[in-house]
Amino acid sequence: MVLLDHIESMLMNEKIENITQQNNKSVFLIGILIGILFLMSAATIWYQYKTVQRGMYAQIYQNGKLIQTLSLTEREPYTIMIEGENGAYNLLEIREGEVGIVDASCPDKLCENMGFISQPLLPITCLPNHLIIQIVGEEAYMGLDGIAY
Amino acid sequence: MNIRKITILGLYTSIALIVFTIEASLPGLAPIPGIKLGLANIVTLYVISNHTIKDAFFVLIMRIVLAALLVGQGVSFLYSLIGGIFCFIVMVFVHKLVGGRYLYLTSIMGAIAHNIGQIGVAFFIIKLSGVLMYTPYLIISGIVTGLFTGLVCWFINRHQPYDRYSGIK
Amino acid sequence: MGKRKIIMAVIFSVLFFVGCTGRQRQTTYVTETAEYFGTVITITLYGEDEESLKKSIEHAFDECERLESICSAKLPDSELCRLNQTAAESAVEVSKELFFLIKEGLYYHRLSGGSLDISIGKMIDLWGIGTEHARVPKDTEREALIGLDGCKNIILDEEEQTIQYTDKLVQIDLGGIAKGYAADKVKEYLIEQEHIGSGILNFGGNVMAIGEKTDGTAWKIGLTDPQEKGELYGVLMIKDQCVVTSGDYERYFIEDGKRYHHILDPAAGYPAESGIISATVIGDRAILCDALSTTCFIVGIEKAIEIIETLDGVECILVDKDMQYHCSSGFSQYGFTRSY
Repeated sequence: MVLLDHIESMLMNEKIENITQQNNKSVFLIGILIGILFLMSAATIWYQYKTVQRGMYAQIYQNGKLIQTLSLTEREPYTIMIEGENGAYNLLEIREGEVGIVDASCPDKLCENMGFISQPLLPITCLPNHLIIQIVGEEAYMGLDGIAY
Repeated sequence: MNIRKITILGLYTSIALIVFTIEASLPGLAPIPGIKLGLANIVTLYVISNHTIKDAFFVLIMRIVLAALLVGQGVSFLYSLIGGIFCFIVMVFVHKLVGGRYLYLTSIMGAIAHNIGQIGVAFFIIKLSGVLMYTPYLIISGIVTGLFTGLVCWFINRHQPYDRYSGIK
Repeated sequence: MGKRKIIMAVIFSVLFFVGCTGRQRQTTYVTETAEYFGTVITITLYGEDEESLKKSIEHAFDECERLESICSAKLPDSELCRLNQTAAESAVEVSKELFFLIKEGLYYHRLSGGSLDISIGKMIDLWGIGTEHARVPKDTEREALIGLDGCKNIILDEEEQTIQYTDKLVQIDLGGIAKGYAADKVKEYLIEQEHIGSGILNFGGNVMAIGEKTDGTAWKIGLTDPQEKGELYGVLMIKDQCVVTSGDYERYFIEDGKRYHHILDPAAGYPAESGIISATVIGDRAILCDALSTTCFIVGIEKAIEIIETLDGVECILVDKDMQYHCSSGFSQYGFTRSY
């Protein structure tokens, strides 16, 4: 309260009609400050939009255990082989921002049919080989709590 | 403080409360949490510019506490309180610096401070750096909404028909 | 009114703030994924103690395993498979749970006017969709199995808890309701035994909510786009209910350029073609929703909405071939928003 009174008295002493040079300078500076804040924010938003990745990582689960987490930010596509029991295998291709299975030992080939995924909506699953690939982003599931499919 | 002052401050508090409650019941402006017009700040700004800082502080705190009691939940009270105090401190200094002119400068800076204060609280509570991603959005929204509330207050000041109680200005 | 009162107001507000934060408990959540019922099961539970949540999920998966050992048509050891092997010869005594499931299955058969038929296990095996033997069966093979009306050939004895088939061609497949039943049982178990108040179960696309979110709001559930993989069709909000979708995009195989999906119309012995490409049902019990979503998919839009309207507490949204949606009268309560 004492502090408030003090500020009060400072303000009271400076009569409002008594606009000084100092005040004009402040107005100018604050205007500049707001302008800078605006530009910086706009630039940040623009940068965020430009560099947005729909999903940042692909998590690979085998037999219900997370065995690998891959970053999806590599520009050059590459493949990795996930091997399972009894000669089962899935060949994953990782491209910038998306992942898919390009070859698999499973009989139904559903996992290949799913194509490439880039969003944390539907995971790629290869049930015969007990493999699940899901995308996780900064904002998991885009604010959703579940997906019905 | 005399009875006249108590009445007037009570009136301001209730106006602020009504505006705040109505705004809270309207749908949000944008899908980003924290973006709102902040209409109740018009009242705070008006009291700062026409009465004393102490009065404005009183109106602000009473409005936040009463709003929390009437409509709020525990956490939203903390957000409004910290945001409100940040906003108030910045507005008082800017108001002094610019010599009481250009109310919209004051309210823009206040709105930005309010939003930054709220992000700070969110960061403190959630402890997730993701909330900081909202900062640029909230600064821009603060500039827009602060400009709006500042202009509203400026118009009120220009068009009010009779003098304030205490003879300031 | 003076400084003292203002100070009191400040002290009061500080006390209020402290009181509020004191009540605010730290909530955390745990998500685990596993495979049961030939599908992926994800359980997310909210609570205060991470370790105990992990334990709860572990127990929930144990419950899944137990249920799978009862009603799976794929596990050769399951109670259902043993029933299928011997029930044509003599009455077989079964567990309470299997008896209940088959009884429910027969009830849904009546409710759907015959469209949801649990007795077409042989037809499902014939198509083999979702397995390595998937193929379009020959007409003669197919015709031998249609028009069976197998449900008439299942005899339940309430008192003895026994089941008998009067036709050798009857094989029970609970694929249309087992996942839903499991979701119900796991939810019941988590609430009653583990005292979980908030969580989300996803049983291969059947989403079951326990309670509401820890902040008291509704769960946001996305419906998958039936045509664009990985895209959303829309979003809806539920509390303590479940959302079950049946679609032609879930399991299928392609032969000679034509796509054959896994939801068979028992009357034709062919994948159902009713003009619906995705049927979603919302309600309290997942077993009912599971049965109804399959039923809706098979019977077509008009009949589906008619069936849903006769039942209390369930609503549906059906997507047709042109991606337009049709919903039942009470569906608006779920705040559905279409995404594009």
